[in-house]
Amino acid sequence: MDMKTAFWRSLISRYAILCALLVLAIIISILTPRFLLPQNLLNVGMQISINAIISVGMTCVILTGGIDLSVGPIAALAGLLASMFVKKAMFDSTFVMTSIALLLALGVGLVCGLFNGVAVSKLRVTAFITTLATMSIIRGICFLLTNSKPIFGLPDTIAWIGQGYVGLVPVAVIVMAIIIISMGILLKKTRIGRYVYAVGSNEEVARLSGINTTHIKVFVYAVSGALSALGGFILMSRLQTGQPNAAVGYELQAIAATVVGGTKLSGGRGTVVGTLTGALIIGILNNGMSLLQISSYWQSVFTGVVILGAVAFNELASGDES
Amino acid sequence: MGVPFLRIENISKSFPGIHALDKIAFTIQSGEIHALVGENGAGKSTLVKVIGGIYQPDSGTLVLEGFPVTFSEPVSSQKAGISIIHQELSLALDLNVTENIFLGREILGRFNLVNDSIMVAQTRKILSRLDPSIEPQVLVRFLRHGQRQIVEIAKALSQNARLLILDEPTSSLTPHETDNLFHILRRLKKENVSILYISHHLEEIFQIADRVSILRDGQYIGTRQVIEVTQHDLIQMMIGRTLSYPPKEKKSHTGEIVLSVEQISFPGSFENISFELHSGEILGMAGLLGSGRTEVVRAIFGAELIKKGKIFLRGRPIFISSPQMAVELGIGLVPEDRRLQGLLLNKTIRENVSLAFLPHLCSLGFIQSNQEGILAEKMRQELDIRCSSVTQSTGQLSGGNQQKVVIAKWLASGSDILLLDEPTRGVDVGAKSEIHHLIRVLAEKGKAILVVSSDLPEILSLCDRILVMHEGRLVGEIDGPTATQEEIMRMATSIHTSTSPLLKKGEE
Repeated sequence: MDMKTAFWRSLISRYAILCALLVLAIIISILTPRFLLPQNLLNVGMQISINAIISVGMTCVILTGGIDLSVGPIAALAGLLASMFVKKAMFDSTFVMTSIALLLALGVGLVCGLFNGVAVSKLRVTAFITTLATMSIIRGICFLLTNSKPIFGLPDTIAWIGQGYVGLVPVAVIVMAIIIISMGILLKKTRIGRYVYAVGSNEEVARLSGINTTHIKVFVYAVSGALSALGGFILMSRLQTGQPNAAVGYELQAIAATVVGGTKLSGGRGTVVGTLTGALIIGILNNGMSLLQISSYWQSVFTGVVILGAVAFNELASGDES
Repeated sequence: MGVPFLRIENISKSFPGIHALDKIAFTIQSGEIHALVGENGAGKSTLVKVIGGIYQPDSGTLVLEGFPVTFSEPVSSQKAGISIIHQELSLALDLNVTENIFLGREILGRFNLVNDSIMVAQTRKILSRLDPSIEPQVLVRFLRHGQRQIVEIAKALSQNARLLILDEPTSSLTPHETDNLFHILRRLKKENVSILYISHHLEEIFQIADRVSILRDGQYIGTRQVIEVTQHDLIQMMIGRTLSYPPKEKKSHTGEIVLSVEQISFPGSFENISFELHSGEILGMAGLLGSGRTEVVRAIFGAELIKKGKIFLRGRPIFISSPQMAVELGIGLVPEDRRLQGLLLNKTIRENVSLAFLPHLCSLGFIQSNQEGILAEKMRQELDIRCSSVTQSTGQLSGGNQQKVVIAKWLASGSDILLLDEPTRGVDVGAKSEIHHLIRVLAEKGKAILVVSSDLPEILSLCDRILVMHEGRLVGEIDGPTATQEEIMRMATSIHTSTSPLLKKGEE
């Protein structure tokens, strides 16, 4: 292959999914000019923010070669506990109240994630089975805690993170941006990030290079748990309701965004920016189809087709040895 | 003799930069045991791959029973009645003997369902010619290495093989198993099956072969009747004038004891191993595959935890509980299989080199990127790693350069005890001598080096002292400069120590 072809191939392989996103956006904006209105674009950001945040955690797990099926129930449990706390809380200061509720949610997510991580790395049960089990356990706990009734009547102050704006920009979008930037830096620039990639590339090599692979695995599941909880908190805040059956199917959305974004399920390869792109592709597609008043049944069909197509395209474009 | 079974006519094959085979020409008769000898890298395995249809020759032809043939893929060579039995066997461990033999060629019965009873019966029939003690319905996992090899031969025979190519068949067999194999080969010969027998062990050739062909550096040197030559003649034809290894000079200076292990055991792998390793010393560890060498090294590195015994580092007793701890103590392991255990193949040279040293390249958890680059560049120059740049991914490098990257990882991290498990396996001749040179230089700089190798000439030329393992026990220690291959092999296959019932031969 001559240098020029090689150059174009490398460019395409690195930015393939970004190109796909652009093409999709152009097609939709031609079909429906309303798509490009600033209000609509911010709406898209708001819509994808929760999925994007959870997907970043999922990306960390998948980079190590694992998977986390329990993100939906963790999100639901975190939202529920936070809403129950808010409902019972006696604090006057809304800031303190919200902060404590948020910390509570994150703490619960962290504990669930730590449990997943320890089970996966110590009990040697595969990640799929472990998180399938915790998915069921945690969802069950959600229903037990609430007797399967939603928690209504939360104060408006809790709604700021999910519904509020700073200037023109939704708070949820800002939170998403912070998460993506900080996790991107963590994965690419720090030692622990490098180890995450090393474990996913070849766990045995990582171990024989003196890396404590157990710690790394526990770390990624903890991150996934905490970010799921953050997503669940934003969802609760947006709905201003704590629901035991919230966030159903979120694990599949998060996996979809991650793989569409170019992360390999076998581990070792992928980026947070890719995952954001994946979430955007799925989000824009859904938004565009809604604007075009395509029925939700067809939306589901098209989303599936796009996921399959994007991943196949990615494999082709990256054209590597694996 | 009539028309030969296979005539090899002027076969040539080159790879970028290497003339692997240059006009090789000899014949294999029907019902003949034909030995093929040559040093590592002489072209034996390339020739086997050409005959087996894995490589296409650049020029020359194969003539099968008088007719020119081309084998465009392994299947076509198999159909022509040629079967190769590689050193590393290719059996599915969790299928039984019958299922392995008929894999991909299952006999179907009513409703196109697999007809087990017929296949079992046929398997039993074939095995009755080879080794009736092997049960057709036993999982291959539970067979010893020698028995697995017989299953491979049975598989070949069930495909009507008329030429069996055996690549180093005895390298992991006990003497008893070897006798059994020879017995089988002689019987097959009577049934008019041809055998191409590749081996480093010249004495075996005198026991079993009718004729022997010699290759050297990709050239065909000649074919002789075995009864007309001596071992000495063969060695001369194999080596030519130049000796491939520089003679080992007696070394005077080895420093203090850096590592000493006392009576360490891991039931099922090794028992009561004791030895000492000095700084500046290259200590060899020889033994057959499965004799426990790799397990000992992995235990010292903390990848496996010893059940008994003590390890001392510079006189201080320590319990190495994980590779992480071993690395912090300055021990580095170049593992047996660099592709599966040594390298992150989809990552760059730079990331691989810095992997074990990363904690020291970080400030507040952030990787100091430029320092990492400087380190990788320094290693590239020191070890002469050939690459377009240190940002090339290691999967694209040649075997020799990959191995250098693994070694570089431990030099970069400043390890002063290096455990090298098969440091030159699958590495070409040039890179091999470079790696040997590097090992010597490191020892001179005071590193303590333990080399595990199946390559006896390598052990002999590198090591100051040689430990020999057999069935999980240390059976001898020989002074490097005076050791001979025969002496090591005798110890490594020693029968008198097999009172230890702890081990079955071969990998689990």
